[in-house]
Amino acid sequence: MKGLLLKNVMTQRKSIITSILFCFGMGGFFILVMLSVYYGNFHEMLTEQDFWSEVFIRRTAYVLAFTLAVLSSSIAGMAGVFREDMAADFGKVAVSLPVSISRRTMSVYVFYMGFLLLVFVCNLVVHPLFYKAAKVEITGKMFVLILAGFAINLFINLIDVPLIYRFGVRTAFVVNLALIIVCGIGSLRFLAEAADTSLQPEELVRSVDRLINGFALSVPGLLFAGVPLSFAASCSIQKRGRNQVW
Amino acid sequence: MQKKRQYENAIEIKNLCKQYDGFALKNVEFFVPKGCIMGFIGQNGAGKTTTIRAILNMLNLDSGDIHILGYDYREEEQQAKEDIGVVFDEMGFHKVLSPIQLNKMFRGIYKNWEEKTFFDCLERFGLPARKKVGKFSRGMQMKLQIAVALSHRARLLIMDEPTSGLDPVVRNEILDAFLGFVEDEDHSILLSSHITSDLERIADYITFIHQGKILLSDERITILENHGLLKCSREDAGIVDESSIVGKRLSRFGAELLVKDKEQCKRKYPKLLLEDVNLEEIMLFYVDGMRGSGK
Repeated sequence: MKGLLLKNVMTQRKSIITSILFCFGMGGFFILVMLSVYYGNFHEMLTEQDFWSEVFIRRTAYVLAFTLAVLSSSIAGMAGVFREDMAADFGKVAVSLPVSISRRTMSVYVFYMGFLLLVFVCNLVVHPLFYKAAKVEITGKMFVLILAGFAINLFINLIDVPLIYRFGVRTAFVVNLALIIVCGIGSLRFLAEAADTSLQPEELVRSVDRLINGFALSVPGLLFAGVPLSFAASCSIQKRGRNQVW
Repeated sequence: MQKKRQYENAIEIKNLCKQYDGFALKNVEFFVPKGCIMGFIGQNGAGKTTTIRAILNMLNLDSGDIHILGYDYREEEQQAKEDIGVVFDEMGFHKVLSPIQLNKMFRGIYKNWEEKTFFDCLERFGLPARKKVGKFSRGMQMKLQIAVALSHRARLLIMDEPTSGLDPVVRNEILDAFLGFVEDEDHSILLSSHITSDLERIADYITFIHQGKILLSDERITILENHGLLKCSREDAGIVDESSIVGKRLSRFGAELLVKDKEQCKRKYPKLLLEDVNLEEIMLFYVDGMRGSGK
């Protein structure tokens, strides 16, 4: 398995570097946004329209922090490994190696978890700098937002991988797209209902907070139950000879 | 160190059956004796690659038994694959990797990986160690696969059309490498190819598959000695016993008949011209003969 893990790292080197640069780049961009909110064009705009307040700034910072976590983790994925392997037609080499199905599969999951951890660590470096620039106190909320962002990525990838093994990379991509559309429609419906029922902004914020906390709290479940289930499903699909990858 | 199994045949395949839509492997059975090179020939689509995929446990078989180097291939797959080197018609390594990186990868996979042997092979084949393999020519890619196969103390090489598309110089170099490999009596090769001239040069045994069925499996010398090409007129062709004819070609000017017992035909038809025949002609006549009989 060590060799296959190394193979994944070597072939995904560009994705890893891109992910790190993206995290710091996006973090830097959001820092500039917050500096503009305090000292630049955004400050003028917000002041003119009476939006400038500490509460508004703090909420904006949280939204940007969550966005940073989601987007920076989105590059970390297992699909890239499969794409490279299929482009190289590595599947026939893989099955000729003295590596069992479970160890072959494990190399993909271990690589992904390592990749995700690396991006997580980058977020732990970038977020405090961002909060400092935003002049928002660093509390446990910072970790909650990062975990929530990563939970979404983890959830999608744990569903993706068995789908990739069973139906191929394209089908998994279509399923992801469908998930995003469903979530988007769900969000719009929620906002529309909120507008219909004259939901107070504070109520809306509380609902979103509950959702974010839910995502963050799901991480242990995803790690300790989701990963083994996804792994077992992936191995089972291959052992039944139904896989589209190798 | 794990004690090696005792075995007579490097590969033993019995009653291998696999059904697909429009194609089936039907009771495929043959053996690759230890220390030999087995040439596995057949047309495109005859079942060579499917049989090799079955040997590598890439298929769920309908029935059949496969033993590789004394191992039961389903129960002891990982142990068997430690001792097998596989070469495919198209390289399956990532184009962004260099041989140095491939060395690192395989070092973490094979227990018996020999880095020195690998780099010696690279030097012998003239392969640059730092160049990305995506920039290798086809001949270089094939040599790289062979270098990998030779670098983990494999006792069996399984090769699927390794010399197709290569120029004669590179083909010769590769065939020499195969001959060097089997100098150790513990080493064997299963070589699938439709370049029969390569097999005539190096193969000890030949197995011929057609439409999923094994038509011939024997020593190369025996096959070539037993088969002969009878050249005669169309009238004379009519007197030859049908049971000894594998296939025939009739033209306005005469007939060519492939017979499977040359010595018997020499005795029975001394006045008819009987010539030696090569593997390619044997293959063509068998295929034509099967077509003619509607099989």
